[in-house]
Amino acid sequence: MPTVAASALEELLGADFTDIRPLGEDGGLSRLFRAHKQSLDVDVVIKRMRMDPRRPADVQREARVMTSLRHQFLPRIFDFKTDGEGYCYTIMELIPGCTLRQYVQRQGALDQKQALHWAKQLLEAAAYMHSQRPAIIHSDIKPENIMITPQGDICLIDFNASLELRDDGVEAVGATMCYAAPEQYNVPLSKFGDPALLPPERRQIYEIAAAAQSMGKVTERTDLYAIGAVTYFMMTGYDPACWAQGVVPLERYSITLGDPFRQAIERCMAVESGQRFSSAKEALRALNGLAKMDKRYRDWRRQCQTAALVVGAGLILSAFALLWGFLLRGQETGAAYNALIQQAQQLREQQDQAGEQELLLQAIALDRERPEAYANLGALLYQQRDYQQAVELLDQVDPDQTGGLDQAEAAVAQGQIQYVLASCYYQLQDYTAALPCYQTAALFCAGEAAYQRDLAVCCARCGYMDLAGQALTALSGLDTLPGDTELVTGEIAYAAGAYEQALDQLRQAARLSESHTVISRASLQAAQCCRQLGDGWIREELDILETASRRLDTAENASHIQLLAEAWLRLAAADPSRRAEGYQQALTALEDLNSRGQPTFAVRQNLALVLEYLDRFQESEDVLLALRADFPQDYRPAMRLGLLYADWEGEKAQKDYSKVVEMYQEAQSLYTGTDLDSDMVRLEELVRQIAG
Amino acid sequence: MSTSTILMLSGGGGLLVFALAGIISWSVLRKKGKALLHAIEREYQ
Repeated sequence: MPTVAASALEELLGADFTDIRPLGEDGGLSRLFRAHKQSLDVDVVIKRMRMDPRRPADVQREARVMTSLRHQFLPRIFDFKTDGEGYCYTIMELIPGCTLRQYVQRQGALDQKQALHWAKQLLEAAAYMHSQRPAIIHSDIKPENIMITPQGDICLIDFNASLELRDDGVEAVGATMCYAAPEQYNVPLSKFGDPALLPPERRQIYEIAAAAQSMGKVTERTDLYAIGAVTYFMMTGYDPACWAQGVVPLERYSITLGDPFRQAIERCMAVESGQRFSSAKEALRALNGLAKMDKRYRDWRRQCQTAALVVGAGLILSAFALLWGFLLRGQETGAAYNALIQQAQQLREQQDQAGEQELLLQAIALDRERPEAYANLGALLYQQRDYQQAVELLDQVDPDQTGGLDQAEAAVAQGQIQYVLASCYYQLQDYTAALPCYQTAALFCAGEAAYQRDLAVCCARCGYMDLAGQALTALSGLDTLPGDTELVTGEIAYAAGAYEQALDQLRQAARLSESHTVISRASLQAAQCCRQLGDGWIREELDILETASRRLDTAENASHIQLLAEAWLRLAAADPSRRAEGYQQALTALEDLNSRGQPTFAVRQNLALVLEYLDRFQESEDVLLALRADFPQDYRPAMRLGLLYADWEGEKAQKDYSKVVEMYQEAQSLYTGTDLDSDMVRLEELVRQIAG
Repeated sequence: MSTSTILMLSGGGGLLVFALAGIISWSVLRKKGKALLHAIEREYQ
């Protein structure tokens, strides 16, 4: 190639460029000059090249693209000129430093840190070029075309062989052995002519081209091959063999090279372009994430996954066991509860009330939501006449709780609870509290005649005659027992003041019924009717109460016997001819009650009174003294003792009324005077007489 | 001891044990991973 005078170049480039002189040796296809661009005050490199006559129209376009490139690892291309003799001139930034090849020749093979650092920079430059529209493929990346700047960075130079990627690839323009990708050798074999006539070096190229016929066209991945090859060179200090001759694996070299990095280089240098990274960006991402591709890191990740799996499985199994336990617990609790109820039922049949109570309490403690144990225990306490305790137990039960029972079973149990509660209130004569409980029981169990019957009775007792009438109507539609309707009509008549009519109905009820509850209530209310009718009905009253107390059990007839004793006393007071009989009968009744244990105050007081009437003063005094000791705050024992002593002293020759006065004073100190007591008035009068 | 009690105790105990194990192993592995990543990255940078 003839030497171009610097002055001729000056003439072409203009006065902006000074100090033009050749740079390096003649490069064959190109020639380099160095100059100083005055306007930018920078040293530039001018590359003179013969234009490809096959691509004359592309030159200007490529020039425009090149001059627009701006990247820290690419040289700045200032201008692009052509002369009329078929040469083009690329004016680019002068990159100080040495080429990569020179660097490696001087320093030797690089360590993987340095090689990785520069490989990433090459990929960044390639990614930038590939991101242009259209993408720019360098296609001649090799150590000679990579400058190492004084700052320690690379600069990718010499874009003579660069191509614009159109559609799915371009035909290769040139190829540098060792660094060219296989597809760069994919040229029509016809270009070689008759292979038999080729010289050996061309023959070699021909064979390589023949092998590359199926390798496809040049794409972005072509540059990746070259970058991989350059990295190979940096790590080993040797040029990689041509792909067609088999590249020596990196493992064969005694170098410190991590597996992830080695695998990345090998992937870049894959013969099939489809097996390389899909883009420079992907390759760059891989190099940035080498640590995470390291076998040690992957082993660690596997450990984490295993631990997570074991812990997760353990937690799930434990949670499952816990849930299963909860579900099973509910079933076990239910089964245990049912067993306790059944056992309690058996003990009830064996008349073991204490044992039955214990089991029912256990059942309640086991499950406070279920109503069955409450119902059974309430009934047991009612049977034992422990009404207050039954009320305290059943009052805490929520009528709406079902305890897991179905609606029908829960209604029956709740109905029973409310009925027992109402019956307890009734026995305690708290009819106002009993009424809503009866109503609730009748609501839960509309078909229970006993509930409707007792509701009607309670309504009558409370004075709600309309409600009593409604309950009676409802009762008439049910399957009632003999005496039920008569009891209700008798109660209604009593509430209306029709005592004779009530007496008749109630006597009928007591006679017809087999239910002890009906017999008891009817007879008590009938006796009440007799008292309302006056002393002329005492014999009727005695008959009613004696009959009832015979038909009822010992545990049920205490009230009847007490009223019987009072009736005999009234008879004794009303009929002098029968006084002795009256007192004696009253005494018998009261002694019967006293012998049953825990007699009431009224029973003991009446007993003392009857003994006094029968002139058995000592016995009477004993009863009253015991009563006074048991009820020290009650004035009545002292009052009765005062009257007794007055009566007793009246029988004696030597009278001493000091005890009368003493008892009077004691009674007076305890007497509040809110209810006028005729006996207290009588005692006061006696003491006044004694004092007078 | 009933079956449900055994299941509940073992389930609850298992939850506790595995939760603790998870916390401890997470803590240990996380530290190890950080140190490992740092060491590997130092080889490349």
